[in-house]
Amino acid sequence: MTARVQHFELNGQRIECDAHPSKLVVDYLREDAGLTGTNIGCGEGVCGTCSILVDNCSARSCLLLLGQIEETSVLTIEGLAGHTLGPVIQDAFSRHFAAQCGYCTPAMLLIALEYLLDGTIENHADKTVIRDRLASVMCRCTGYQPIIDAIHDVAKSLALGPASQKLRTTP
Amino acid sequence: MTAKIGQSALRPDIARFARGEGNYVSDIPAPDALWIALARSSVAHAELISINVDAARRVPGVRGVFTGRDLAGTTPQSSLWDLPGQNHTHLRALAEDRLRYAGQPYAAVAAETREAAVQAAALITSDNRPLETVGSIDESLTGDTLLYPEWKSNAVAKQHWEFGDVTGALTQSHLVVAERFMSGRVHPMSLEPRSVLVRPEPDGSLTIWTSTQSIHQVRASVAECLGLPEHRLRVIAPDVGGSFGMKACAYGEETLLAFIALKLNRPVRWIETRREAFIGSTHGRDHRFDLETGFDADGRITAMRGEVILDKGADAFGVSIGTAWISGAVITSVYHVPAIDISASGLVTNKTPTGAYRGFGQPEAAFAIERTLDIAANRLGIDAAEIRRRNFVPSYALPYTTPTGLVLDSGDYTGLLDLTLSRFGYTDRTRAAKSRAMGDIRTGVGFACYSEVTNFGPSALCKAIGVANAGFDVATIRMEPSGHVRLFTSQTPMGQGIETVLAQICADELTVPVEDVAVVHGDTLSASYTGYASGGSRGAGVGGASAALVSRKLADQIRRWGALVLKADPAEVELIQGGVQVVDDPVRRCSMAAIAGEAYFPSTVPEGLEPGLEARAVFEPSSLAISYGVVAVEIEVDLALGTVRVKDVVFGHDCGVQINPKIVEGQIIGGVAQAIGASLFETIEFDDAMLPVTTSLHDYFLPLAADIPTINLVHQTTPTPFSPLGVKGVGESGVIGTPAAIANAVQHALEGSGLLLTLPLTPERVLKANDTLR
Ligand code: FES
Ligand code: FES
Repeated sequence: MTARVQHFELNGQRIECDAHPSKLVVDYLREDAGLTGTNIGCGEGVCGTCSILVDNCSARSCLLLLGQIEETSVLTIEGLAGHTLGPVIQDAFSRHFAAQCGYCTPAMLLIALEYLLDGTIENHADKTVIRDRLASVMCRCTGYQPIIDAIHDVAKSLALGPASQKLRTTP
Repeated sequence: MTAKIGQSALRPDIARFARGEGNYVSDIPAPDALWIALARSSVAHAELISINVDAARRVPGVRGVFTGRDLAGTTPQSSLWDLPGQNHTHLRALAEDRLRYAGQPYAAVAAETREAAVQAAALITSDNRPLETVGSIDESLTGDTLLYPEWKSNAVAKQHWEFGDVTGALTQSHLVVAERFMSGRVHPMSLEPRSVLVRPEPDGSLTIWTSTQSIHQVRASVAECLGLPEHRLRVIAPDVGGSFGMKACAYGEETLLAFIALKLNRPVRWIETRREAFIGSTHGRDHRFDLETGFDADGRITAMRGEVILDKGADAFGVSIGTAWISGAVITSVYHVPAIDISASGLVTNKTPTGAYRGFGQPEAAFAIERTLDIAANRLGIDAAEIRRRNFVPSYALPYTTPTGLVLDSGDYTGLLDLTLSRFGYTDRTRAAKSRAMGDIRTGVGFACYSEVTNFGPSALCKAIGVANAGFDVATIRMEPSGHVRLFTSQTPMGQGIETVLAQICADELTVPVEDVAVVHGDTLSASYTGYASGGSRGAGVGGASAALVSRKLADQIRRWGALVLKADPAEVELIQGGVQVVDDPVRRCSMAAIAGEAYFPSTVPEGLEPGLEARAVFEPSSLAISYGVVAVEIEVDLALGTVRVKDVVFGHDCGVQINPKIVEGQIIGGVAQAIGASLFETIEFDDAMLPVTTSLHDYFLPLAADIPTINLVHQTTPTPFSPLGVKGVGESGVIGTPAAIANAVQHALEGSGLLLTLPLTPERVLKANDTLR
């Protein structure tokens, strides 16, 4: 089999990689790229622990093949701090005790970023809407409440309006 | 930052997790490690005649294939609980002559890549002679088929408590409520599966990284099974991605990987798949509680007769029948019960073993007694709160020894009930619920009380009840020459934030900023031996107590060195604001750094001191501490679909002195969420051949954010007299009373229907109860 070179952007960096296009993105991240912040909870697409952002949309990296991220822009937890909102969300999670074991935390933060930047949402500080959006990632420890509080806190402080920002992987 | 006891110091590890810098076992780089994959039984019960491994050996990259025969020279894993007369399963990590549950490992492959290991393991087959399966408590009781023929029955062990004239009291009772309460089998489901990495070191020792709550138990188990000396074994628990009791005991995989690493002289690693977690990690609950409770005409309990039986699954390792034991022991909860006759036992069946899961027998007991009280209140026409008030052990009677021998240490049960129900608006909501019926939607209101056995310990109690490990906790501490502090603990963080709690305690005792204290944990190399690490809600109460005691010892050394620096009498100086100063003379003051400098680079060593600043302390709890609380809920039932939504929860509780209130809150809310899962959605199922049906998160429904309502807390603080800081545990509080509260509320919504006695309250069960509307 001839190796095909894949091109994509990872946390703001241009990547050329020759791993097989059928390799799971989560395995690529953890094994080849050394980015172990993305965790695996089920490996079957249910729990959302392995969520990353691909072109601003959350995706389960345990279901995604390298070939599917060709020419996309990928954001993992390791790149979050590079986003304008990254440190704000990280800080809110700390202040609200929005993690216990931390296993779901990287996914929760990325989902939070995706949510906060979603221009289709009328009121980002609406806790019911936050709850619904968080349904894509399971947390076994926190009961979700502190995570919702953290995201609510950021939404309130930013008073994000509809379509106010575009997700960028660099500041 | 100062972070006194009672302040919610931030957890530094949360910031680390939020940067993606969690360090779980599977994150530890080991490029040279072989991957282990297991061949697991696909049948529930069979004689294992032979194993065919030839095809597996031929897979490129395979370096070894192991079966039970290879482990024959090792010692079987022993049980942590060993009650008098207990039968032992004596199983090793790989099945030998019999397969006893679907999922039981019987062969292991070591290969250069995970793919090769998995592929090879899939090629392993076994020749079996099928045996009848034992699928339920009833089938197990008949003894027609025996899992361990040498036992002559399927019973692991039995415990019995008897006090007073139960038969007489029940006969004379005005009302007897006799029902069977079932708490279904659930999965603790830490989001991080189990994972083990073993590395043979150049000096001939082994380092084992494993996702566990109990580093010393793992070390003891591997040492015992493989006959290795404990000073050649180092067990490390890095970040643990949730645990909930499921990782409380040693598993066969730790021994197996250590064995293979030694055999092949290579590092080896295994990461459990989610499917393996469903069939291979211990399950929780699966209790049947038959309870008969007598009441007089005023609703006062006259006597209880009960039998709790645990479906232990196929192997009585780990905590053995411990959950049933605790269920029986706590059945009287916070109530005065004049006479009891209670038995607790565990039976083997051809299922994945059950083990410790957050709550440990207590939710099962709370479900039985709290449902009973509601049923009795209803039949006697007494208010549900009033019947409890009439039965509470009054505050003036505390400490109070229950008829099963537990000591209720401190509290105000009536006070907390009244406070919680008034915050919840119980009376108004109960009244309003009926008028809120809309279409098929009914509203229900209910509550339950609970007690939680915490600060698990007294070594003597452990011995008395058959727990092999002692309950003391050891902490050591060192002030470094710079004046900064390290605490060494064998309490294991698994998300509960215990390291922050311990740092706060040290910082408070030593009057230093919390950042000046580093807590070293999760490593048998640095931690003193602790038999029973983090479990039994003992981290803050027991581990925290030894941290306080050891800090006080260090503080005393600091004070005396400080007096030397200040040229003052040690009796005249005190620790204050991160230094030592002469009482009432803040000008005569020196810093920790100056004191440490003197202690490590002394010009003279005062009488009774040694150079350096180090101490060790042991805390041996004198008794358990009993936390307690009241869970009030409002629910909605859809009569057409049978679905239940929890709308609101008010959670009143008393866990004594709270060191970090935000951490306490997190423990409770997280626990309530797990309990909502176990009450409504989560259930591990088997088919008729005892093959597991629930082997994926597609089939096992964890509560999602939208399933959990906002949970409001009501705090009451009654210190326990049995811990130097007055701290009781709280880790299990959330799960204990919540299922009973939800069931009471659903029953309220379905007024007049059949009784709800089985958890979870699946739509089928709710609809069935509603169909039997009288
Ligand atoms: S690990 Fe990818 S969804 Fe669970
Ligand atoms: S913090 Fe443990 S799973 Fe979410």
